[in-house]
Amino acid sequence: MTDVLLQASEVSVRRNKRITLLPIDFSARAGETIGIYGPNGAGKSTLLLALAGLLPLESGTIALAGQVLGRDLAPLAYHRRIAAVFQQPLLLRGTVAHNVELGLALRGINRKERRERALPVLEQLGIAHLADRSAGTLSGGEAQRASLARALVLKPEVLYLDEPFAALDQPTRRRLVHELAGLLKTQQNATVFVTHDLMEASILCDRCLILDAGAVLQEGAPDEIIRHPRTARVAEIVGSGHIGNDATKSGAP
Amino acid sequence: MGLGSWDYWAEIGQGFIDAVLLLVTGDPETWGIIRQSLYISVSATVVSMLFGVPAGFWIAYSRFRGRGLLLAICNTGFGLPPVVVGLVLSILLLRHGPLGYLNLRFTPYAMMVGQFVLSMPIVVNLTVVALQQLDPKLRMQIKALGASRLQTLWLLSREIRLPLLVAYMAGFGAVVSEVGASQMLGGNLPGSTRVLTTAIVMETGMGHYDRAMAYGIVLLLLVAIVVGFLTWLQHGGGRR
Repeated sequence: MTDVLLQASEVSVRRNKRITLLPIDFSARAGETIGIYGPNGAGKSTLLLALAGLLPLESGTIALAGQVLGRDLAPLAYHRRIAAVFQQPLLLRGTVAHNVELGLALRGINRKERRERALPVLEQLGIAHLADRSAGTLSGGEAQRASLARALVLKPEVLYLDEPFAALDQPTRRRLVHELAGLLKTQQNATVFVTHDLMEASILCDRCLILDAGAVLQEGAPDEIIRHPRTARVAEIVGSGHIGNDATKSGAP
Repeated sequence: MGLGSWDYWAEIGQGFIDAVLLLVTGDPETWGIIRQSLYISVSATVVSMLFGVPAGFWIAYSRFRGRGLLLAICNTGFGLPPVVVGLVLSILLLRHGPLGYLNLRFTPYAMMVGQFVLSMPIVVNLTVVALQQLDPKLRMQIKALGASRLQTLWLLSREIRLPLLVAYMAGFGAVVSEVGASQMLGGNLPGSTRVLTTAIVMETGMGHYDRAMAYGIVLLLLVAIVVGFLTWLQHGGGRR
C-alpha cells in the first residue's frame, strides 16, 4: 500500500457561530479518489473547503505528505501543491489559455513553459481549439472543462472537486464524468470529490464517505455502501432498501 | 422685467463669444487655470485610489469590530460637505495648529489633501460594493490556485477594473467641480491655487463674465466627459 498523502485528524469547522462539521478524521492515498456524498446541508462542501485550507478550522490538523498545514507548511505553500474546482467554473477575465496557465503564472513559470505545459491538458480536455477564446464566451460545459484544465495543469498532489458537474446538463455531465474518470486513472494524485450524485460517485471514487449533519455515517466502497448500508439513515441517503422498511424503499421513482 | 433687455442679452452673448475665443486662442491665463485644476484634481484622485482601493479590499474581506461603522462613515462620505472639510483642514493647517508646521495652507498641496479627503470615501465605497458583487467563491478559487495576498489583490482588481474606473471617474467628477474646500484651503492665488471653480466665483464677482463663462464651459465639458463615460459603461460599453 502506498503512503497516506493527505491526513486530516479531528477536523471540525464552525461557520456563522455554529458547528457545521463535527470532528472528522480523513485520509487519502496517492492515486486514490474519495467521494464525499450526502444530502444538501450535510457539510460536504464545508469538509472539502476545510481540507483545502480555505476555511479556518475550529479544531484538528491537516497534513500533506506528513507536513502539518500551518506548522510545517505555510498556507500559500500548501495551496501551491493542491488545486480546486468548484461547481461554478469561476474563470477570470481573459482567454481560456490565460485562465488555464494562471496557476503556473502565479508560481512564476515563464510564458514558454506555461504554453508547453498547458497544451497537452487543453488537448486532453478537448478544448485546445478554444485556447484563444475569451472565457466569457464559453458554454457551461466548455467553461467547466477550462476550469478542470486549470487545475490539472498544476499536477496537484491533492485535487479537490466540489460538485464540478452539478451545474451542467445531463449529457455533458455524463460525458465529463467518464472523461475525468479516465484522466484521474493516469494521475498519481489523490482526489477528493464532493457530489450528491451516487452514479458519479460510483464511477469516479474508490472510496466514499457518507456525510450527514456534519458527521460521517459510513465509509467504504460506493457499491459496498449501497449494498450494505449500516444504518437506516444511510439507507435513506443512498436510496437503498436493505435497512429500514423494505416495502416502501423499492427504488422505483 | 421678463426676459431682460436687448443690451443684457447682447452682453451675455458677447461674453460667450469671448469665452470661446479665450479657449481657442490658447489664452495663457485661461489655460494655466485649466492645467492647474487638472493637476490638482487628478493627483488627489490618483492618491485616493492608491489608498482607497486597498482600504476597500480590507473592509470588504476582513471581519472586525467597527466594520459596519466604517462602512457607514464611507456612505456618509458620499455627502461630505466640502466646506466642512475645508473648515476642518484649515483649522488643522493653521500656523499654530497641529499640522501647521507643514506650511501647506494656501498651497496646491493643501487643496490636494482636501480633495483626497473628499474623494476617498467615494473610492472606498465603490470598491467595497464591487467586491461584494463578485462570487464569494472566486476569492477561494484564486487562493486555491496558489495566489499570494498581493497576487490575489491584483487578480481581483482586474476582475473589478470597470467598477474601479467608475470609482475613479466619480471621485474626479466630485472634486474637480467642488469649490468650498478649494477656496478655503487654496485661497485662489493666481498661478498656484486658482482653479476653475474658484476662478469662476472670482470672475463672476468682478463682472468678468467672459472669463467666468470660459471656465464654466471647460468645467461642464470635463463633467460631461465623466458622466458620458459612466453612462457608456453602465450600458455595457466596456464589456469585453
